[in-house]
Amino acid sequence: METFASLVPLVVIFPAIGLSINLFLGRYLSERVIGAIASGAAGLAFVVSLTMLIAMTGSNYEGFVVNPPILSSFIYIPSAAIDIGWQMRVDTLSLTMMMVVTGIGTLIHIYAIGYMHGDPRFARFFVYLNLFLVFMLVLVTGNNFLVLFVGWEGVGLCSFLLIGFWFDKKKGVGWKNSNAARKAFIVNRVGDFGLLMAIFLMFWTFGTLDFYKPGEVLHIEEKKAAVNDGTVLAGYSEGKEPSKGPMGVFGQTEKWLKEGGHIVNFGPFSLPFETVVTLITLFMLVGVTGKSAQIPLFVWLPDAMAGPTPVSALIHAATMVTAGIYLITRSSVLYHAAPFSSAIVTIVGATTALMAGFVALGQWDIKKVLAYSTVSQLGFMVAAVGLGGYAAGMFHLITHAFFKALLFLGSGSVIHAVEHGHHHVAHEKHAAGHGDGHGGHDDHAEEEEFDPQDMRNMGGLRKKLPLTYALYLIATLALAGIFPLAGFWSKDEILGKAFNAAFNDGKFEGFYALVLLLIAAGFTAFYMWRQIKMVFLGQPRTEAAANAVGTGPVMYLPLVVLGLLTVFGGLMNIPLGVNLFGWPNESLVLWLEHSVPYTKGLEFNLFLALVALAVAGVAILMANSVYSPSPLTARGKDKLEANASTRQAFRLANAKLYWDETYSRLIEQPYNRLSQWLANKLDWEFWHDRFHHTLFRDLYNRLSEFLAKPVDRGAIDQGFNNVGRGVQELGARLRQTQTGYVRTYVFTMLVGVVIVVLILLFPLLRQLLSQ
Amino acid sequence: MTVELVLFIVVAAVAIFSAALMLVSRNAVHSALFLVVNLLCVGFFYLMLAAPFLAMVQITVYAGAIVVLFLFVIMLLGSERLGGRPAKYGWVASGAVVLTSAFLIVAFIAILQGNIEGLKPIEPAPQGRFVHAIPGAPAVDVYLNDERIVEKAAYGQTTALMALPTGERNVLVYPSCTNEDPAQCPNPITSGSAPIAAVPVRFEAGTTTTYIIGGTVQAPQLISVPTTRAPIEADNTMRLTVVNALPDTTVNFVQLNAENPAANETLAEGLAFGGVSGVVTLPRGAYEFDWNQGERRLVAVRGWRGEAGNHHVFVLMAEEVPVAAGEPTTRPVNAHLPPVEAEKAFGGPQRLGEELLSRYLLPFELVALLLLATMVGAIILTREEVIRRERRRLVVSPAIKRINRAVPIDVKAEPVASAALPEPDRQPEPSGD
Amino acid sequence: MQPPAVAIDYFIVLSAVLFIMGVLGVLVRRNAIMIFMSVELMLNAANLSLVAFARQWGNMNGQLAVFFVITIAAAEVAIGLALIVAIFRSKKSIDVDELNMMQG
Repeated sequence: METFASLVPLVVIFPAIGLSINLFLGRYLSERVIGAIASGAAGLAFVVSLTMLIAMTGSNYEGFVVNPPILSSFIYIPSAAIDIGWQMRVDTLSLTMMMVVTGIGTLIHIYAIGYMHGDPRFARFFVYLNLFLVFMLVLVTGNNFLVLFVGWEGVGLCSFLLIGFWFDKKKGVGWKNSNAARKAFIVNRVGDFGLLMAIFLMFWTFGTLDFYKPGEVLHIEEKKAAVNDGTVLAGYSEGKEPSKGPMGVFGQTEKWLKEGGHIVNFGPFSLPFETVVTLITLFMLVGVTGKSAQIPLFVWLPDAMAGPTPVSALIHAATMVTAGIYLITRSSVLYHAAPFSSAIVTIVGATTALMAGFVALGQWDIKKVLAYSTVSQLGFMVAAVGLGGYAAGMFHLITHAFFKALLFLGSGSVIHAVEHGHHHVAHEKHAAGHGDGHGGHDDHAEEEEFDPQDMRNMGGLRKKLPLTYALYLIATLALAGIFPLAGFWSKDEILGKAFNAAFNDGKFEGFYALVLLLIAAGFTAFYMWRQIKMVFLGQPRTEAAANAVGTGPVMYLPLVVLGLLTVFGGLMNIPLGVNLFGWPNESLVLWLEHSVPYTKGLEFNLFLALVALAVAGVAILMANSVYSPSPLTARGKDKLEANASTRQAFRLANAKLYWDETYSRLIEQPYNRLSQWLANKLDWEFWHDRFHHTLFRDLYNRLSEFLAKPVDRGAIDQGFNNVGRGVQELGARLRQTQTGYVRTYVFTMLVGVVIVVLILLFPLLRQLLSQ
Repeated sequence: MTVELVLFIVVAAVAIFSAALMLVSRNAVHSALFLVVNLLCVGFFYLMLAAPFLAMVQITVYAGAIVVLFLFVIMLLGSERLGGRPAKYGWVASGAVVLTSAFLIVAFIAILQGNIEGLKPIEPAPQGRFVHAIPGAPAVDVYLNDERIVEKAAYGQTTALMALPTGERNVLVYPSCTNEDPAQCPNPITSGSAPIAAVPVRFEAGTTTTYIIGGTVQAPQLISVPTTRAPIEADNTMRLTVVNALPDTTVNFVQLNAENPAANETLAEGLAFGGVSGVVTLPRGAYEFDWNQGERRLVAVRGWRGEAGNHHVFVLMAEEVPVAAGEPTTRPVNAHLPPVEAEKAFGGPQRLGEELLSRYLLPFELVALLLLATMVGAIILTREEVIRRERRRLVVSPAIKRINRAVPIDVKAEPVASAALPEPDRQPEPSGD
Repeated sequence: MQPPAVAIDYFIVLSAVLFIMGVLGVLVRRNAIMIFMSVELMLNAANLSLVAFARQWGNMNGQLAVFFVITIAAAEVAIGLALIVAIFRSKKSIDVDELNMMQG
C-alpha cells in the first residue's frame, strides 16, 4: 500500500498540469480540446484515487503520511519553533473525500463543456475549475492544519474567481456577479479568522500542526466500533501502548487527556488543557460556519448562485462547502474531547437547517431554492458531526453531493432550455433575423427583462425536457428522503443519531436537533415539491417555457451518472439491522473507522424512519395540494402568499428573513460610514488638509517667504548692497584726490613733509615751548 | 664781521633774490637765466665750503648743461612768453604759501636750536706703526696692556699703520715666542716674564705716530715720531722728519747742496738719542743728506728721491755687523722708513676721486649706466612716430600662417607727427600763476 | 681742518630758504618747465646743505653725495624735458593743469 500511497501527489499534479496547459495554450486550442484536457485531468485524478482506494482495501486500511517528492523540499517552512512541510495523508477519510471531489468533479467538468459552449473565456473557466480541484485536493490530502488551511484559502479564491466569472456582463449584471464574488470571499475570510485562531492555539498548545507524524499509531482508550469482526484497525491501537516518538495533534490530545491535568501556559495566564481544546474547537466552528455556510456566515451562498451553474453544482453543493464537515470529522479527537463545543455545533447546525429550509419556501429563483436547500442540508451534516455521528455526517455529505449536483445540473438544463426558448421567441418576433449569434447563454437575457431562472416563467417543462424531469424528480425525492433513495438512508442516520443523543444519552442538543431536523426535513420535502410543481408540472406560464429547447447529450451524461448514484448511493452505508439481500452493513462506517476515531455506526430505528418518511410524505402531499392546479394565483402570486394565514410567513421567507439587510444595517453601513469618515474627515481633511497643509506646507511656505523676503532680500541684500554702495561712495570720495593735477600731488607731498618734520622736531619744539 | 661773512651775506642775498625773480618772472628764458645766477651763487658757496671740485662741477654741469637743456626746450616749445589764464586750483598757491611759511619757521627754529656748531668732526682713531730698531734683539711682540697688536716684528721691520685705541695704554715689548706651535706659547703678561720695554703711552685721536723701539737691549727706548697725514698744502712737496735712535750720540742732519757745498742746510741740529726733529717740508726731487756727529760724518745718504705728498722718516740707528769671530759690533746706519702718505686736500678732486673709485665704485658705475639709459630714453621719448611697415617673413610655416590669420596685422600708416615749431598764433596754453 | 670761516648755520638757513622757494615754485607755477626749474632749485638747496655739513664734519661723504645728486639731476632733467616735449607734441600745451588724464 505504501507504494500506492505515494501516488497521492499525482492527484494534485494532474489537475495542475491540466490547468497549466489550458492557461498557457488555451487560446490556441479548441473548446473540445480544452474541455477534454480539463476533464481528463480530473478523470485521471479520480483514477489515481480509485487506485489508492482499491489498494487500501487490499491492505490493512492503515493511513500513510506521504512526503511528495521535490515539492516537500521546496515548500517547507523552517523555523526555530516548528517544522512544517507539505506532507500528505492517505487514509480512508482523505480517500473518501478525494473520491467524491474527483468523481463529481469529473462529471461536472464534462457537463461544463456543453454548458459553457460559446463563452468567450471558455479556457479560463476550465483553468479555474482545475485550479479549484487542485486546491480542494490539497485541502483533503494535507497532513497538517497548515496545508489544510492553504487548500481552504485556495478554494475560497477559486470560489471568488468562479462566482464572478461573468463580471463583464452589461446592464449591471456584471456588477452583481462581482459583488457576489466579493461577498463570498469576504464572508469566508471572517470564517478563516476563526480557523486561524484555532491553528494558532493548536500550534501553541501542541507545538506541531501535523495530524499524524509519519508512522504514528494513534492510541485511543475507547473500545472500537460496533462491528467486531477481528479486523486489525491500524489507524489506532486500542488499549495498547502509545507509539513512541513525536506525535501529531491528535496523538498529543489523547495522551494528555489520558494523563489528565495538563496545563497550557499562555504567558501571564494558563488554562487547563480541556478548556483549550474547547476553545480550539469553537474557533474551528467559526471557520466551519464560514466555509460550510452555517449561521451566521451563510449569507454568501445564495448570492453565489450568480456564478455559472456548473460552479454552483461543483463548489457550492458538492465539494467546497463540505470542507467544513471534513474539518470537523478530521478533528474528531478534539471534538470528542470537548462536548460543549460539540453541543454548540449541533445547535448551530440544526438551527441553520431549519432556518434555511424555511427561507427556501419563499424563493422564486430556481437556483436560490437549491442554494438554501444546500445550506439546510449542510446544517444537517453539521448537526450530525456535532452529535458525534462523524460517519453519518460523511454519509450525508456523499449522498447530498450526488443528488444536489444532479439538481443543480438539472436546473442548469432547465435554465438553458428556457433561455433558448425565449431566444427563439424573440427571434420570431423580430422581423429581421438575428443571425446565429450564440454568444453565451445569458446574453439574450439582457434584451428584455426576462429572467430565465425565475420559476414563475417556467412550467410544464415535463413535456419539453422529459429526461431532465425524470432525473430531477429522482433527485428531489432523494433530497426529501424517500425510501429507498440515498437521501433516505443518510438523513435517517442523522435523525437516528439525534434520537440516540436525545433519548439514550439524555443530551439536550440531541432533542433540539431531533425536533428541528424533523421539521426541516418537512420543509425540505415541501419546497422541493413546490419547485417540481412550478417548473415541470402544470402548464407553461410563458412563451419561453412553451418553446423550451432541450440540450445535447454532453450535458445529459453526467446527469444520468449522478442519477444512478443517487438511486444506489444509499447502499454505501446500510445501517445495522437492515438486511438488504446480504449487502454489507455499515460499509462506510467501517471504512471510516480506520481514520476517524470515535466514529460509530447505528442501529436502524424503524420507528424513527417511519416518522421521517411520514413527515416527508405529508409535506409532499401538502405541497401538491397547495400548488394545484397552478402554483401561482391569477395575479402571479404564490399560493402561500395569497393565503392570508401564511402570507406573513411567506413574505418573510421571500425576504430571506432579512439576513442581508440586517447585516447591512449592523455591519456594512456603520463600517462604510466609519471608513468614509476616516477617509474624508480624518485623513483628508484633518491629516491632509489641516495638518499637512497648515503644519508642513504653510509653515514651510511661510518660512521660505520669511527667508526670502526679509532675510534674503531685506537683510542680506541690503547688507551687501550697502557694503557695495559704501565702497562706491568711498571710492568716489577717494577718487577726488586723484585730480590728475601734478600740483595738487606736490602739495600733498609738501603737507606730508611738513607733518613728518613736525613729528621729528616735536621734542625740540616742546622743549622750546616749555622754556 | 669778517670778510667771509660779508661775502656770504652778499652772495646769499643774490641767490635768494635771483631765486625769487626766477619764480616770479613771466618769461621762461628770464627764469632760466635767473636760475643760472642762482646756480652760480651756489657754486660760490661750494668754494667757501672747501669743495672746489664740486663748485666746478656745479658750474659745468648745472649751469652749463642743464640750464642749457632747459633753454633748448623752452626755445623748442616756444613758451618764452607765458600767457595768463586763471588757474584751476587756485587754492594750491595760497595753501602752499601758508605751508611753506610754516615749514620755514619750523626749519628756522630747528636750525637755530640745533647747535650745529656743536657738531664736531669725529676724529678718526689714532694710527700708529712700530719699528724694531734694537740691534741684536730677537723678534718682538708688542702688547698694549694685555692685547697683542704686533707679532714677530723682526729687527728693522716696520709694521703697517694700524688703528690704536684712544687713551693711555701700556706698551709692552716682549720677545716673540720661538715655539713652532703657537698654542704652546705662554702668555708673557700672565706668565710674568720681563718685557724688553714697558712704556705708558697716551694715544690721541686723529694722530698718526710712528713708534720706534730703539736703543739697546739693556737700555731700550720707545721714540714717538709724529707722522701726520694732514694734507700738504703745496703741491709737489713732501715732508721729512729725522730721528736719532743711535744711543749715546748727538747728531746733526745736513742737506747737501750739490752746486754749492757751502750752502748745505742743516735741517736738524743737536739731536740726542731719542730726539725727533721737526717736520721739514721739501720740494720733491733727489737729495743727499749727511748724518754728522760734530765734524765726523756718521752716515751718508745719497741718491734718494723723495715723492711728493708723503711724509718721510729717516732713522739713525745701529745695525749689527756680522763678524766672523768675536762679539758682533754695531755700526750706525740710516733707515728710511716707508713713507706715510699724506691725505689729499679736502674737497680736492684727488680726494673725491679716491673715494669715488674705492668705496663708491659701485654707485659710480650704476649712475653711469643710469646716464646711458637716460640718454637712450630721452632719444626714444622724443623721436617722431615711426611708420610701422608690415613685416613679412620670407618663409612662413603653417603655424605662422594660422597665427597670422588669427591675429590680423594692421598696416598702420601712422601720420608723421609734426615736430615743427608751432605757429605763433597757435600759442600753447599759457601757464600763468 | 680749521673751523669754517662762516658758521655753518647760515648755510643751512639759506639752504632751507632756497628749498622753500623751490617748493613754492613747484606749487605755484603752471608751466611745466618752470616747475622743473623749481625742482632744480630744490635740489641745489639740498646740495648746499650737504656740502655744508660735509665741511662741518670734515667728511668727504657729503661731497660725494652731492656729486651723485648732480649727476642724477642731470639725468632727470634730460628725461623730464624729453617727456615735456613728447607731451607738448600731443597736447600742444605744457600747462600742467591740462595734464589731468590720470584723473581718478
